[in-house]
Amino acid sequence: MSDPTLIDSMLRWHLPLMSRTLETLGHILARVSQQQATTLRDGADGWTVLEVVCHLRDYDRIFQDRASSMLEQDNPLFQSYNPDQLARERNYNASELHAVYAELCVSRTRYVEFFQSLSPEQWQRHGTHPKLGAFSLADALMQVTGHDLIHMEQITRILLQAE
Amino acid sequence: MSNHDQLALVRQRHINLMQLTLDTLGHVLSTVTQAQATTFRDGPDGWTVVEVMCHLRDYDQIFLERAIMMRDGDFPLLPIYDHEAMVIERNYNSNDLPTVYAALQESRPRFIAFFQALTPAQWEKAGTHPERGYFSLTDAAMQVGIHDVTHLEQITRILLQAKGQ
Repeated sequence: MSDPTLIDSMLRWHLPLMSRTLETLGHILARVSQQQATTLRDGADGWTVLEVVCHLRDYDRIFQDRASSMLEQDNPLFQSYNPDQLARERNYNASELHAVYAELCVSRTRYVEFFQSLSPEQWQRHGTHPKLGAFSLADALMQVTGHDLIHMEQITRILLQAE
Repeated sequence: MSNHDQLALVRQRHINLMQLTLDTLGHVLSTVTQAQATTFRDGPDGWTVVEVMCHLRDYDQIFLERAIMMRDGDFPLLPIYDHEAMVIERNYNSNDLPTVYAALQESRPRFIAFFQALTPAQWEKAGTHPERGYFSLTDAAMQVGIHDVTHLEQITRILLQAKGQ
């Protein structure tokens, strides 16, 4: 169960942030070529910028599906995914950077609307995360922006190689 | 998870963000020249990149001072500042970009250490924000990283003008 004061704070701070992190990412990617996005890596075996953005797009949908399942089921156990396996199976690095970013924007708009539509009772719903355990909708909201920021740091760090 | 555990997790996540957003700013600024930082503006009357960075540096101090007031006081009314006046009074645009970022890098660990040292009882303290009303130390912890992101968005938007240079 989530503290109503915490929910207020999360709505105040994190809901606008869901769009802001994405806009920031868009500004950063506007200056990145497809070649840079597919060749510069986060370490020898690390992801490219494109792989990171594909990961953000796919996890936006995964996070959304998990959040929806909290409304539809009682304490659902979320499905677990292997992000490295997804990158290989879905051949992330063959995608087109700006098309992937556009897909992420469409997905994010839906996710913002999802949170905006929640009633106070719905905010109390929860599920079980395969690694983190008990997981509330407030956690889900915080996870989106935290996840964006982790990968924005990674993308901007990868792009230091383009200097 | 109890409300108490959830709040502790929320606070810790936001403390972690305070370093992450600072690192991201550093990466973004590493390719920005002093000329770009002092001439490209956020609209005709908007701030330059160096003005935004000076604002972040000075508000890191202001946010910390307010947080200390909340920890040590009895529901204080937090002081208000005119950030536009500070830009002019402190002549922000004459500052050296790497020096300003270095000052922010020096200030931020103090702020992180402040939050890390709070006891559960201290975390419950709050004050009145001049614009937002009730303002807890949890709000203060959330505000830092989120304020960074607001201005990271602004900086990266200003820097779109450097595209093709």
